Amino acid sequence: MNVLEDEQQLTLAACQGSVEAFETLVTYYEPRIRRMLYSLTQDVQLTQDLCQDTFLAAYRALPRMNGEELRFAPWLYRIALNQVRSEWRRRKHVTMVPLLPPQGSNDETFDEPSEEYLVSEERFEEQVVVRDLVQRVLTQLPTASALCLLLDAEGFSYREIAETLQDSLSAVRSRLSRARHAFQQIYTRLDQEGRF
Amino acid sequence: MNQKDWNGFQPCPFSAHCLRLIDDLDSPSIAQQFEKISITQDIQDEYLLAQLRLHVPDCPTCTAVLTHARRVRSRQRAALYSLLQENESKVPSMIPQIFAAIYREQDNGLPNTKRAQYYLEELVVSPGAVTPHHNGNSNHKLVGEHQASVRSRNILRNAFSLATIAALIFAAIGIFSHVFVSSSPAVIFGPHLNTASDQSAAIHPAPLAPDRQSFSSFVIGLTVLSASSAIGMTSIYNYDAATSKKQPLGQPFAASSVQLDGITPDGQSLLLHYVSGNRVFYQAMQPGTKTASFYQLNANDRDAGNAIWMDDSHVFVAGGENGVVEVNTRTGSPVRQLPAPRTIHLAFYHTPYLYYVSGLPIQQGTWPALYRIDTTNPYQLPQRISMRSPDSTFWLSPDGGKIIYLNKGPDGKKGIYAVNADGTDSQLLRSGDAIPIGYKDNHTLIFMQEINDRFQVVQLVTAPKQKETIVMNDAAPGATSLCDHQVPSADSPICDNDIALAPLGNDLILNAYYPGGKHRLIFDDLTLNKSNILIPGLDSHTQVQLPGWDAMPVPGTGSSPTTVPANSQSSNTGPEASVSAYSPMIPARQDLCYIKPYAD
Repeated sequence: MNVLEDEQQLTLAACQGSVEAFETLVTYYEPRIRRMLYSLTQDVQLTQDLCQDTFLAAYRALPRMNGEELRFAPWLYRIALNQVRSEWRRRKHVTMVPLLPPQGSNDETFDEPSEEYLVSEERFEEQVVVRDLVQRVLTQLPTASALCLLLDAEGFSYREIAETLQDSLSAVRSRLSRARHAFQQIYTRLDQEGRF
Repeated sequence: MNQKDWNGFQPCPFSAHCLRLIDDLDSPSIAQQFEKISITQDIQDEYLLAQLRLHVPDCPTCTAVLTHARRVRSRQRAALYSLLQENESKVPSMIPQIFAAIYREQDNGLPNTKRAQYYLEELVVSPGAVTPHHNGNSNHKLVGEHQASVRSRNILRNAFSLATIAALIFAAIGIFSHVFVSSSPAVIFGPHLNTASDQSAAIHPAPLAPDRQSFSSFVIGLTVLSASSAIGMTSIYNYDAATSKKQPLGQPFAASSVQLDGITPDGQSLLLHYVSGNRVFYQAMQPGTKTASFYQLNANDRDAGNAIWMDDSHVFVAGGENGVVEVNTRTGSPVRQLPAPRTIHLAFYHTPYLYYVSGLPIQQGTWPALYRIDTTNPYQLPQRISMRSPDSTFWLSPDGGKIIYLNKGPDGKKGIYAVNADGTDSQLLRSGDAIPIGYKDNHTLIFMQEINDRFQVVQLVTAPKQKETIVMNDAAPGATSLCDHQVPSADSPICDNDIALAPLGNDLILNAYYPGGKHRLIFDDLTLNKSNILIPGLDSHTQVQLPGWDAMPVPGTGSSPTTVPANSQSSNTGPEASVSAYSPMIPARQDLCYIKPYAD
């Protein structure tokens, strides 16, 4: 991910109690965290709540962190995603939560990617700008797959995604590959449904 | 690998691996990706990647597959990034609120060492984060810091204990009481504030708490509904609990949708609103005084909502899309307009926060919850206080520190929850259908439950140890329901808007329904465990509202307004006082308790 200039120094200073450094980090990352949260929740009020909670939790936890080793972005996104998970746990009886995996689905639901999924590329090219369709695709993907795709789109490296999702590099590679394949499958299906 | 050709190329056993490792193949900094290899699969991937780097340039299938995959990846990323950017624009920035929250924490004296105590293990670091095999992440120094945290807590606990002992000594020798009252701005209802800068001045006077025993009478609204129109005839009385004597508050009047909003903090006025024509009128009533409406809104614009007392002479009115307006009840003048919140139901006010229920109506798919906004800074975003819970009544504790409610929403188990007034520390006190009906004191909640067709009144002490005691085994013998079933969404045999608990928690008024559709007004003396019928034989055409207990005198009963402190103008004050202590929280209900027209 493109990081803020002097981010490591800012992180170190924030860990040592510099509010100014933390404010700089907030200014840079708040829009990114906000859009990620909204992509996952589709709820403005909830996004605002979770966004504020994320930065407050980070602010409170920073003194406990080793500023020299802390990679701020994956750590912050991990806090944000844990906030979302926590909210989902509280709402586990509600079916309206976006991004819940469809019944019985998980990462393994979709076939291993093969080059076949590339065949429908031209149709995908035509429709790629239709954002609501993209959002619908996201809501039908397994949560971890959607997260991988969104973090990848944000410019995270495998390592950063792995840190954020608390997973191994190998698992992230496989998951992201499957996610791209599943994205394409669902997109094509929804696009075709929309045409009839 | 599929056994058929793809795009005219021969199948290649490596093409699936190419798709999986496409980002690694394209990454110039691949060495960094593997810099901390600790998992066998990662090592295998490294070997495979080295093979692919040699293989791909000479394999037309893999080259074609990768070329297409890169284009698809590029378009997926572009589409997703475009979506992210659009989503960013859909949600207002939270940076000011985050900064404000940080400053608040600083103002609350939270240096780094104390901030660490807010360490939210569940939210910040999952247990896996401290295990070394996870990406080699060694950012978390849990063990030593946990010990430091424990030491720090012990020190704080000791300091707190010493401070408590010191406070008790001071209190015992009687020199602490004034300091205590005047230094508790969070619970003081000071004089009316026009601007935020007035606040410091407002909290300096140290008004005394009103005498809660002076709240010995209660208001009853009786509306006789017309079978042919939406208009009902409403009479309002002030009843003395001890003698059952009553005094009318004003003349009976014809109107639709009459709602008794609540009693003033000093117990001397009733706030109500009603619809007449296309206007909504807001009025304050006192015994023996003719009053007219002090404010009105256009009912056709759906602007009009309920109103609550801010202090003894100012109210907040929910103006729908126009936000909330503060009005001086004596002059009828709007004092200030809060642009938000809009389309809400006001719950209660506790300096400087206005609490309200937002998320209405649930039919539109939004779950209501309790929120609050700082009236001295109305442009701040509101804080959510409760879980999402439809049709709940919220009860502010006498000291203003806690809010109790029955959670009926999807966010947790059904049951009575306590949450700090700032929304923190939500706790399930007891699960089940029992309905809170008020407080006896800060740590004693009174609730009601139906057990074997009896309506039990139970006292729940929350501190220092939680304990339940049955106060009265049947508050309405023979009754089948404590709910007016003409009111929509009455899904329980107990409705808290048909019950009014006295501020001291010793007396109870309730509207009980019996077989055949008749209902009665019952007075229960919880101390003597005795029930009296106050008004018998009310038919289904007559609806009752119980806005709360008051300190208004009833002629011929010996009750006197002199028991209210002389400085009662700002008297809902002190560590023992709160709005909720004097009102059975009708304003905090989400349903508006409007009187519905009778229809056969």
